[in-house]
Amino acid sequence: MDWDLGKFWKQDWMSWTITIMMILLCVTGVLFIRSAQAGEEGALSRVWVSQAVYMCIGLVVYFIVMMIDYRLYIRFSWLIYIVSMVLLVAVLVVGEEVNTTKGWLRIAGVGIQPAEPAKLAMTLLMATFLGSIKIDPTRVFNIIVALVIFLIPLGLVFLQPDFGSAIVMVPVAFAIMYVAGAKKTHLLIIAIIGFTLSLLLWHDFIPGVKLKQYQKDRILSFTDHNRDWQGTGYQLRQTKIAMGSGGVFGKGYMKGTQSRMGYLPKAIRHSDAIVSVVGEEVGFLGCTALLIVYAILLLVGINIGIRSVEKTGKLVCAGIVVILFVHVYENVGMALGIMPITGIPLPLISNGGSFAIIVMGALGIIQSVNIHPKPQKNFI
Amino acid sequence: MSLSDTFGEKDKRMEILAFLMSLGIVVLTATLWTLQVVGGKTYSKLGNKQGIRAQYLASARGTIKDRNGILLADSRPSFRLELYLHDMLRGGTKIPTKKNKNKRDVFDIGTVAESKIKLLSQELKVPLPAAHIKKIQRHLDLYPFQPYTLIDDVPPEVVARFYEKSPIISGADIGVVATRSYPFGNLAAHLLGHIGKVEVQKTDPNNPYAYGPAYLGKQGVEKTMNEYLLGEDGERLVRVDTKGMIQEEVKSKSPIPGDTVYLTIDVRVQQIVESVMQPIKRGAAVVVDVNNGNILSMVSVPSYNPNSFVPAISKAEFKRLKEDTDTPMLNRTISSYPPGSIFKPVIALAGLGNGKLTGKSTFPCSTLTLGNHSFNCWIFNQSGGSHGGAVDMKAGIANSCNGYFFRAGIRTGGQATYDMGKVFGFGELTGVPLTSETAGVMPGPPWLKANFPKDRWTEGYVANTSIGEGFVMVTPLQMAMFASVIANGGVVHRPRLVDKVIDADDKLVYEDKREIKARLSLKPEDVEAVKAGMRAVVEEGTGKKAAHPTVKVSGKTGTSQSRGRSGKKTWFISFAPYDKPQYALVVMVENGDSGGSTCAPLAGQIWQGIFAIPPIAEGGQVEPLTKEFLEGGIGIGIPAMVTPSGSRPIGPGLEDEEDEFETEQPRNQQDNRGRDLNAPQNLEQEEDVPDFIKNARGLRGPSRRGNVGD
Repeated sequence: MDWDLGKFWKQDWMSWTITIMMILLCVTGVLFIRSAQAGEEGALSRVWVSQAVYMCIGLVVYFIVMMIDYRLYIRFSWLIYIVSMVLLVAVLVVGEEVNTTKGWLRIAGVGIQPAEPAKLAMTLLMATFLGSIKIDPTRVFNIIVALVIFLIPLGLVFLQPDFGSAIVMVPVAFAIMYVAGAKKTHLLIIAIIGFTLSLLLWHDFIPGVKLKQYQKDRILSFTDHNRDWQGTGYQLRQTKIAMGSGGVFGKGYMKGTQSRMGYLPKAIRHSDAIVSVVGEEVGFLGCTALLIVYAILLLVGINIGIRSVEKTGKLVCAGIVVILFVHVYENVGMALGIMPITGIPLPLISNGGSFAIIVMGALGIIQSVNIHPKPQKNFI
Repeated sequence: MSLSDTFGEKDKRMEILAFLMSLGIVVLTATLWTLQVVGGKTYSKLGNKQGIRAQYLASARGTIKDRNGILLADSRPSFRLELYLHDMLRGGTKIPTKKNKNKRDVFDIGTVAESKIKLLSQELKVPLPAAHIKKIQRHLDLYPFQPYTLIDDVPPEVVARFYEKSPIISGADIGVVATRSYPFGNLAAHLLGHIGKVEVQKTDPNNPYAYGPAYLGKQGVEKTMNEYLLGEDGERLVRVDTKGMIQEEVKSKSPIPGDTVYLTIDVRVQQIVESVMQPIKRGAAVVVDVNNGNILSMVSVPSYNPNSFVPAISKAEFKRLKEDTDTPMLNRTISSYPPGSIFKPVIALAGLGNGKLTGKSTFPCSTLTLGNHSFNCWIFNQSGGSHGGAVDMKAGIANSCNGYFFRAGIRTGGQATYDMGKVFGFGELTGVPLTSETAGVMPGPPWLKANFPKDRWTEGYVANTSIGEGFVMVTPLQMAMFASVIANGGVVHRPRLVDKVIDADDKLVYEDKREIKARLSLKPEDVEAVKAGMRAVVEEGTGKKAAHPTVKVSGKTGTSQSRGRSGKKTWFISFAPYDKPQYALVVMVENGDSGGSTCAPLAGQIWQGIFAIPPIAEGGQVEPLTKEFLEGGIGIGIPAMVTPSGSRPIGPGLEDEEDEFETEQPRNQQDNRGRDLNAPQNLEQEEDVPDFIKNARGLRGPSRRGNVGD
């Protein structure tokens, strides 16, 4: 990397790097969704087509979002936040139960997971609050307010219970508070309190909220890989075999035996477990290439944040980048057996239309921060 | 680096964030490295292993044919209902139970199998045995990828119904296996033997794919020729997906079918002898070719149906066979019995051999007194008369004169008689490839020395041995071989039952070579003298009922004293035609009246049948005899051709396996040396049964009870 990044970023127009990396990921995703379900018959074998359509919609969303000054989102971040929280409450009341989690809302025939926009809404509002010039992030009160913004969606997501989304929100909130300039001692105290609460939760000491046994199992199975191989551990064992057997170069696109023969569970091999298919078919080199693409995306996002003239823009970038990073780290990590198994998709690769659109929208916001360094004169 | 330049001092926290995320990506890459680059091979193996399923391809057991290629033991296709436990388990089953309210998948094989079997039973409209959960569990543990056989021999209509319904019955399949069948049913059951299921633990527990032969020969030729009949099982390694669908064939080794065993048996002769012997309660008959020792027929009655052991014998049937006092599983043709007078030609030949006797030598038929024992002729006991003052060899044999043979035996001497008996192989196994053959006993001075060292071979012993009583024990097969030696003029052949073994490629893999064990060092006219005596038995002596209208039949009757529960043994040894002997025949009936009245007529019928076998046209195919021929030709019903049992009833009993069945030894000869043969006697006055036996009881336990002179 010997090109002058600084000069590259100084242009007023959008960052092509983000756009290219994003499209690269989208195409990769569609290809591997196709590969993962190629052996199936019926709707599953054509799921990549609908994903491609969603990707196109997402691309349009991306461009629209980036054209608009991000300050508009900041101004209305409280509204976005409230709408998201209403959706989170709604999903608890009228949501569809999938795999014992009440996480899906069906609106006009389209299924959405309110937890996904909630992460973004939380990021925007926290960034708005902590990025405001009037707010001193070193003050305890302000930190508490920021915590409340974080804890409301966390609690609602926990009630579904969507353990995966909850686990994403924690580092995102911490990152925003940290970058905003919160005192390290405050963050440490919050971390200790949070950790203690989780311990109490694990041991059922918190009245009213109980972890389901299968959630505990999922966490436990990552510490002991051979535990219950027909159930939770089976899935992990199979993803590891899939990735491991891919070796350096992989078995070739569409030639993954683990996915083709159904050892990777049909229900998740095109969504949460798709990295196993990638690992099996294109091996270590392919996976590393994929991680490098993500790394570029993340670093460019951070860079845009750093270069942002306003603190809010920086915090928005940091929050979104961390959301992406946590998704990548958790998703790949669980396939590798270094993270507990949670239902977290791999951004832009895993099947899932609404999440892909949200991710692309979020990248659009970063892009918007990039191309709107100064408030526009005719800004609403 | 320009990248770090752009971060700037005031954004240190952003830098740290970027660093932490980069670190995260590095951690992921490092883990990928250990998993994919370092552990690549290990995981490849694991992956390959779990996709591979070894399919066991059972070889078809070799067939057994008679000398003319007629099938005696066949391999027929049989359908069986198989459960692929591993597949059934993987999918689990959604059974709402009390504990399982939210209908999550159940992975307990017992529950899964039970529900599956219930479903199968409903869909196939067939009562199925209840799930034997322990057995199923054990099968799953030992052979996770081998199908579990739920029922064998599924009727074709059920197979058809299965294929109609198969889409809804996952985890079950119909397998085709070669199954043993004996087209003639009971015919030659004892020499063919039967097969038995092998317990699964007998195979290698360390290799989950190991799956030994399901059936092994347990008796008869099935057992002795098992290594040839078995063939080699094949194996097919296939890669399957999680639904059990085969994706590709990794390796395949075709099963090699077992070899074909050709017997010396002629199924037509066997049919005739079986027909004739069928009405007999307990007995045996053997026909051999006098010129080469080929066994043409071996019949032991009562018989059993070896088909009942396929696929597995039911408990009730097994119990019946085991507890039947007539011991239907016992092969009487190779079990030892006291011969009685059929042993007399041995003495004649011994005497002629050492020059102590000639054909012209005469002895009086009168009471022989040794010490205080009187040895009488049977005719004396029956009518008070005698065979005359000067009985020669021909008359002695013809009338089975004890007086002649007491004296002839004493003159010949115990050692010479013993030596002659050994030449014929008495007291030794013939080596015929059958299970549970017994050697019998050839008594004489060396034998006595070996078994009763303190005793002395007295003339009393000699006298007893001379008429086939005392310690002598022979098998019907030994007697048949003996008769053939007389018939062929002195050549002792080794009996042959298995002719050759041909493999699937028509290559000869084993041949039982003809073997002449010995030649009698007798002058031809001496053997002729004995032959003439045996001809006279049928012409004018005790065996008239064996006569054939056109063929000259020779023979010798025998009735041994009754011993134990099994009663008297009545015998007839025979050969024909007299001028150019071809066949030797032995008929033995337990508990008969006498050799002449019980066995000679049977022998006559057999001869009638054998010589009525229609000649085969040049290049024609030998066919089994028809029922019409057997009933019309010799007037006795035959064991009808048993059709292969294609549709056996399905019942729980069929799934039970039985352990190897040990053939019971005949009760009357558990001790070959005859020491235990002193059961109370209940003598009737019969031809050949000497009165002296009553007095000579002491002979049976010489050292303990003293000698003849008691």
